[in-house]
Amino acid sequence: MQVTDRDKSQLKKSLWQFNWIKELNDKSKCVCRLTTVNKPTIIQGLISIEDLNDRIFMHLIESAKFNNGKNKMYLGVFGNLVAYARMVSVDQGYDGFLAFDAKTELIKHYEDSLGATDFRGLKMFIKPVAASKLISQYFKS
Amino acid sequence: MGPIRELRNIDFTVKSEPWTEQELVDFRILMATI
Repeated sequence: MQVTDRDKSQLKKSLWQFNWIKELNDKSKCVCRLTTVNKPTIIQGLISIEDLNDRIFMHLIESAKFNNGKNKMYLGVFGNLVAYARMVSVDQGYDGFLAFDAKTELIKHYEDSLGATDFRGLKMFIKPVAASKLISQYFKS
Repeated sequence: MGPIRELRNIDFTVKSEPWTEQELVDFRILMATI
């Protein structure tokens, strides 16, 4: 679900690693939040995406602090957010293509967990086949 | 098939940087071949 001004109180810098207020104010990007059914007002994670006319580019993805570390409340926040971006890519007619930049130490994890492919250095993308797996795993019909 | 395996001790985040024009061109060529 897209983040609105009403969610700003949950986007304070102290609660997140990235500056989501700045991201929200960038009109070229769409900031979306992940919540649970039983707690729809609590943001579990955030994603910032941009439509680049032939793919969806993922600028920022972050799980809420209570979903990080060894005692994270929920697993799968990241995967759900990426799967959502994949759905947007499909809806826009981009065959599920996603692109993003990875941290060096996470490249292998993105390859294994998302089926992402390395493009150049830290640049990665998710092909339509891999993206379809994400959709089927996270959005059961 | 279950959800993607996510390790408890690894925190996934993404912070992307703008791609250069050349990278965009090369990536579009790559996309066309897939």
